[in-house]
Amino acid sequence: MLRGSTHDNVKAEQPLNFGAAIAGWLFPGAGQIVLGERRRGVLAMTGILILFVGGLLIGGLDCVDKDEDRLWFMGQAAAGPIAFAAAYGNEMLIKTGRFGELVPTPVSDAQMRSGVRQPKVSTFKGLAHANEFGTLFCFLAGLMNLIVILDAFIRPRADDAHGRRGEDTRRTA
Amino acid sequence: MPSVICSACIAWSATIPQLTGYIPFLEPLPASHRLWWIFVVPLAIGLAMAWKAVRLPTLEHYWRAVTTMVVQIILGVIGIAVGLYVLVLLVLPRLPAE
Repeated sequence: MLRGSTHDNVKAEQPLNFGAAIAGWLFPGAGQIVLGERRRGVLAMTGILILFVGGLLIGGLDCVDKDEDRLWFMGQAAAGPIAFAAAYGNEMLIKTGRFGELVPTPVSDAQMRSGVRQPKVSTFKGLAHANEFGTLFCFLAGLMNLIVILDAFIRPRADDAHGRRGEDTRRTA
Repeated sequence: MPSVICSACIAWSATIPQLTGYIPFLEPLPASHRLWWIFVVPLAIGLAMAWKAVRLPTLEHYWRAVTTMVVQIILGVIGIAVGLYVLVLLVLPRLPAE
């Protein structure tokens, strides 16, 4: 009972780390590093980068697309500026035809009659499993980073945590 | 010397795509249509590493916890696959049509 109430008091006193949360969005794991939990931050960063970079490797830059896959991108955006950089790279390098080739896609007879211009897509566009897994990996990287950001938001600073732990021990003793 | 290394790197990066026809990160992984199921392994590793990094009170047994979670995810996915295989290919065809 005493331990529970002490824990509640400590939780109530704990300040929210807005700066660490912003750092965590700017780069995965940076929030924990700012709070003095360097190893924890680096491990979280590695896990999220395995997902994000793995997604780009599997699906290519096309798997981060803020126009065609808007809902997926909402989740991917939680990974921070790296997601926006990938989306920008997709627009600048692949959709413009700078890499690969832009080829016309087939249109239906009705579209042809109504004068719809034949849309062009890159030969580097991901399809089927490659696109699905690439998109999913980057999406999960965003969601996991959201968890890591929330952890940084409520986590006590490394030095405070040690101090409080000592205080808890003294009170319960 | 750095300029020589730089030119060698540029020449190398320009030659590789011509040899293999594959540019990493710009186009999808070529073998992904055949080996898509193997992606569950890096997926589980990335998820477990990020999750355990924030959930464990101390990082003393971090790698053991990560390994356990990776195995759990992979076994879970295999279990779901077997369950769906049995349901779709064995159970559902035996049900009466009407």
